[in-house]
Amino acid sequence: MKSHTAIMGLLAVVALAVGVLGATGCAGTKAAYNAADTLEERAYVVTEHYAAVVHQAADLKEKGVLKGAALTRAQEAESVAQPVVLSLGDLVKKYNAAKSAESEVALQSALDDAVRALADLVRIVKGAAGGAA
Amino acid sequence: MNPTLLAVIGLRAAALAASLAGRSSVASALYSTADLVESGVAVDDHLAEVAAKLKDRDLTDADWSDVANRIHADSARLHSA
Repeated sequence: MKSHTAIMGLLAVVALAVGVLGATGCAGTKAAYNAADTLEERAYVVTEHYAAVVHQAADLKEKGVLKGAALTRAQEAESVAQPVVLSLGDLVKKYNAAKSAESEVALQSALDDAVRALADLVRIVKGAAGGAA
Repeated sequence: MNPTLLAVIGLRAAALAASLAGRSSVASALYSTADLVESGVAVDDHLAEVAAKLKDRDLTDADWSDVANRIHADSARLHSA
């Protein structure tokens, strides 16, 4: 009976934690994307977001939270995403220099690819502790 | 107090309780969740700083170099054996 009560207590704490996290959301992330008014700024926010998630993944790996198959998936996703994300800086320079429709399309297309690659990595990292957070 | 910080403290307290009750797999899962939540908060805090930067000034080449360097360094940590 005591054990049952303890487990219910644990579940209550987890439910409270999930509720708090759902309520607090991700205000900083929303603020960054909302603050990006130009194509260059949007590309920069995606690049910074990617950098922060790779930093998070590396920290979680070192703490032993990201491991096994999830770690392998994260490493693979990062290897695919990195060149796409790092191309954004060069494409921004070309776009700012030329201001042509062609350079704008190239930047927008790379930005779309980078967002998809970032989303894949975020999904894998968030699933590292069994789908929590 | 920051509600997310409270949630992390709650998760760690629950993990400790589970550990003391001999439920090591539950404790491990709760500790991992707490680590994941904390790291997610760090991502959000970083992007809040990015938002403040964009409101404050224009981007420079140094901003792009800096973020690229951080990606290379953390990617190396992620892929290291």
